[in-house]
Amino acid sequence: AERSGGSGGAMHPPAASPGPAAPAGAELLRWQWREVQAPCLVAAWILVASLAKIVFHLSRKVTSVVPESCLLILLGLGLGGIVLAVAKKAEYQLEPNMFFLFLLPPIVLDSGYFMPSRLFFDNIGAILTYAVVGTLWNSFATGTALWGLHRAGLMDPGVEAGLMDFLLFGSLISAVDPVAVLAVFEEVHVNETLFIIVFGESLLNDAVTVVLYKVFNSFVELGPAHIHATDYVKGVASFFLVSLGGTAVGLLFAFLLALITRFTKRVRIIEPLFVFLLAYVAYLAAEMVSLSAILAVTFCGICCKKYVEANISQKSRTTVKYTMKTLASSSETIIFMFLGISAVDTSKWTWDTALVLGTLFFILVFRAVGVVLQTYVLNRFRLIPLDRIDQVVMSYGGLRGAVAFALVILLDREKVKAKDYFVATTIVVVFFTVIVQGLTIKPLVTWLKVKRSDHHKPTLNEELHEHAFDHILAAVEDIVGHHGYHYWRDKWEQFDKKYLSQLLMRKSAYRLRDEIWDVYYKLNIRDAISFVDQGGHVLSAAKLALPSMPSRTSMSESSVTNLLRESGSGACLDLQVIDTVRSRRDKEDAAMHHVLRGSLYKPRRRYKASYSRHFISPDKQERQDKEIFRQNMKRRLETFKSTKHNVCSSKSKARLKEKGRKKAILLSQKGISLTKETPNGKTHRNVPWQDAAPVLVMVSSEEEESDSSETEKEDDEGIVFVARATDEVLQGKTTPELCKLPLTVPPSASPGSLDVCPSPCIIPPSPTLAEKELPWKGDQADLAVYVSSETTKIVPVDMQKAWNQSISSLESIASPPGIESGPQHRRFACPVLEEQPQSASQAMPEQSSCFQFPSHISKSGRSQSDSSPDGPEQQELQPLMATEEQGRMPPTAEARWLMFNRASHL
Amino acid sequence: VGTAQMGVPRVPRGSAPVTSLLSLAVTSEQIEHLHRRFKQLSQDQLTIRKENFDSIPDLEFNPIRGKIVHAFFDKRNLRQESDGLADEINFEDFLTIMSYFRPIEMNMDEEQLDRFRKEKLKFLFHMYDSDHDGKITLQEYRNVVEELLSGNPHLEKESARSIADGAMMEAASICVGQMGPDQVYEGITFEDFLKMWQGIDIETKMHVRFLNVDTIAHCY
Repeated sequence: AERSGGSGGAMHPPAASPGPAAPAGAELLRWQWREVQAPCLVAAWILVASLAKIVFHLSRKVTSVVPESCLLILLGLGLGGIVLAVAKKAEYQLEPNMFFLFLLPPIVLDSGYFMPSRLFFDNIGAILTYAVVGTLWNSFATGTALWGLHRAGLMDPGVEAGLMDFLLFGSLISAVDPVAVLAVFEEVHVNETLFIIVFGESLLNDAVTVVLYKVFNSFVELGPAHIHATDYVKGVASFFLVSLGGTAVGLLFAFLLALITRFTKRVRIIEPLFVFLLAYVAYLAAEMVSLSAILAVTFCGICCKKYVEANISQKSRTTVKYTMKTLASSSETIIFMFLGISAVDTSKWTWDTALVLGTLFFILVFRAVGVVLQTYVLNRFRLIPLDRIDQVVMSYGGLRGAVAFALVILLDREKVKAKDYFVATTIVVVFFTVIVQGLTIKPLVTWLKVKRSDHHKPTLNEELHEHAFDHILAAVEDIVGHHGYHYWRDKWEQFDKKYLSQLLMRKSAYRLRDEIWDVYYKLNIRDAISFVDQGGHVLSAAKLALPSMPSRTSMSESSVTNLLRESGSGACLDLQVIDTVRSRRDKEDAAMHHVLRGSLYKPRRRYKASYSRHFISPDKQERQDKEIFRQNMKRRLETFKSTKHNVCSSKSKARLKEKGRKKAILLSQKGISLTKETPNGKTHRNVPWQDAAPVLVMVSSEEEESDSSETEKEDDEGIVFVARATDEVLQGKTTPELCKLPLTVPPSASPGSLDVCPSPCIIPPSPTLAEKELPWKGDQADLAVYVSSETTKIVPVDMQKAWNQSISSLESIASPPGIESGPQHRRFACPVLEEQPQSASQAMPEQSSCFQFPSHISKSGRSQSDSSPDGPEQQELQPLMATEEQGRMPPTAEARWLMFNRASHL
Repeated sequence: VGTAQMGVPRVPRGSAPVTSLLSLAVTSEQIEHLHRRFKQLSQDQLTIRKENFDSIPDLEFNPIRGKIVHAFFDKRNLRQESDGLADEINFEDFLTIMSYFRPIEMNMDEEQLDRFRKEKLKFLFHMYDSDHDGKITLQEYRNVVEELLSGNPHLEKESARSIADGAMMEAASICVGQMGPDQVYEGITFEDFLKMWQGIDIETKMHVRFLNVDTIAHCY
């Protein structure tokens, strides 16, 4: 309702209370138009503008030629005409207050927040020159020239204006408008440097415009006779005050904003609100003390972004982005539409041909002259000179817009006698620049062959090289002893890293903060998403037996390491290879992970159907997608490696032979008894395993649950590529799980008898080499502890009993703990693994080495400690036994994994 | 490519205006300044050794400091026929290295620009290719990335590895495209390197301003 002032001056709803106006009895319905009038009109206008946008974009042809801003202005003219014809008077127009308080801030915030800051600061010298010197030159030149025109008697005698009036007019008409520039240049796609210079100028010249406007306005009000020399000095001083003050306000609020978002971990849902609120407060604060509000918001946006983005969650980031874009876009739409509508109001303006034509001519010429002169000077200092074509585009791209219009409307008719003439001229100038120049700039750019921005995707290499460049240049400046731009940027970055980032970033974010890493992360996600989009989500069991997996036979002949070494040092991307010959048991362990992870989806099942206003829980579909996504990434990587880097080529023949068989095994679901030969020549007993599969599914689902409940807490985790946690836990967990649920079919016993169910995990094994080497091994001991201490709490009594039985029976069976007993039991528990993913044992550590996210590792390590207070809740939510421990397992496992990996590097 | 820059006349020692260093118009003022700095670094000796660079305090925090200093002594960068590392460089060599950081000039034609670009890239390439075999192998790339990331103590070495691996895979896919099953991508050659840089404005990146402007802001 506050914005109601917005959509039109004419509608100021009297706050008529729906009071008892002597109603004749009880009313069934009541017409309440007056109460809702204002917001309703606002909504209606926005709706009309948005619908119009849809209509414009129905035709590609039109929008590719005509900029949207032109269309909107024309639409506004049409609507204004209709309103005029119906109501006989112009009802609506762009109100300056509404414009400055509500419509402008979103656009400026959007442009500041998403400003490519590196580019902006690289060109800050040029931008400032054009913004300050250029605008000063334009306004003084235009003002004086118009005054000269007036003195020469070329204008209508009705134009009562002195030098000061013309200078005032010159100051408001000469400022390039950010809204108009953005609207047009976004569709033109000139190269980045050119864009940032024109656009940066339009943002930063606000300070100059505001000061000139205010100073001349007060001069006009004082009258030329009363202006003293001190007033001029004050004018100059106020320029510095307004611009630097505005910037300072912006920086202050950027600091506050970054600091606040550091502590929003538990209230993620309102994170975006802080961004908008503080930026808006910065705008209002600057406006309140008549500093440059545009500068304040621009710098608030530019400076806070880095820290805010690091602090807030991924979802909040997306929200901020979209909300900002939506707000800015709708503001822009409304501004242009209302510009059109306002122009219809003929009562407000008076036409004078000489003034209009003179102004148009002067602003074009003086801008061109100013650009050429300034560029000449600047090119002596710039590393990349601006050539003639750039200068043409810069001169021609000086669009005027709603800021000028709002400022001219704000003039006081009593003091500025020629206001009506100025209004008319401003409208014409705005329309001319936006429509004529906006329409022609695209063909012009094409015709001049202006260097366009190339939209190549950012690559990791590029990012790396750029960082290298930065360091090289800084170093060269150091060596030469020249304190130039690179020197100071380097110094700033060091300062930022040492103090600012530590102060303003969440500890977790700060630690992992690195641009190269970010790019890497983003690229991976992008690749992965595009891969899934291409149909990689169709996952069948057949796909599990990818030819890229090394076959078992070749494996037994030589160790992984040797194979990899043979395949050429240059191409081998898998350095995290375990440098020992593995025991059979290890292979099986790894194989088991793989089957469990590779073949199982998280089933859709009941899970925490909670509604919360404060937290958004990831829906099931999303989790499922995540899982599919992980698997696909993994698979894709394997293929990639094998084809590109020839890691496994020597094994391909053997693989092919195996392939068919593997498939058969994988696809077999029920009632198949398998007798297999291992390379060792051992023969296995027949294993009926019809029930094993469902059990495994259940297990995995629980795994996922605990896993995802954890990721849920750490919202900004994003997508995790390697579900190593899951695997490790699975590894440790599966067998006890199998024991608990009376579904497993142990080889030597009838289904359901728990007593004999072997669970090697509970055997306290003596530390072996394999244990040190393979991370998941270590979990076994932990598990035993967990089980004994925790199960009693949650598990129903009968289950406990069965559990204890199984444990005691196991202890009696396997009391001499040894490595030998391990594999035996395991084999019984999950016979599938025997043959199937032999590759897994190798493929898994390797490819995790390539495609893992250590950030995830440390993150989840953190999240464990973070989530520990939530333990009890978790227990309630997941009534199944042992899930709670599972929830806590992954970090441990991962930590080990990490240590292990590090060790292997050494 | 590599031979194009051979046979370029040597820069005359001293402060005379140099015109021939790859058509680089360095003013006498700039050379004087550089010479002063050179003497300061070398402690009035005729040559600079590696240790002399240790005396620059600002360089200390540069993560790839070693590589950069190394590049100053790399004979490939010094346009010498031989390979390997020089123990010390004289002022002439110092200027040669500096000339890699010239900005482009308005009046350069296409061919000059192209050569210019290649030279700058060559400098970078030599920095990466530490064993001088004309290829950036994975191990070399990893070392570079590790050094680049060494400024951040919280990032594991492992992440540097995976980044380098990722970059290498990317390079392979850019340069070779779809590889056959038996193909091995051994490393980035200079041709590949050029390919990777296609479409990226290196001209705007590898510049130091002091070589452009006549006035040198800060002398000491």
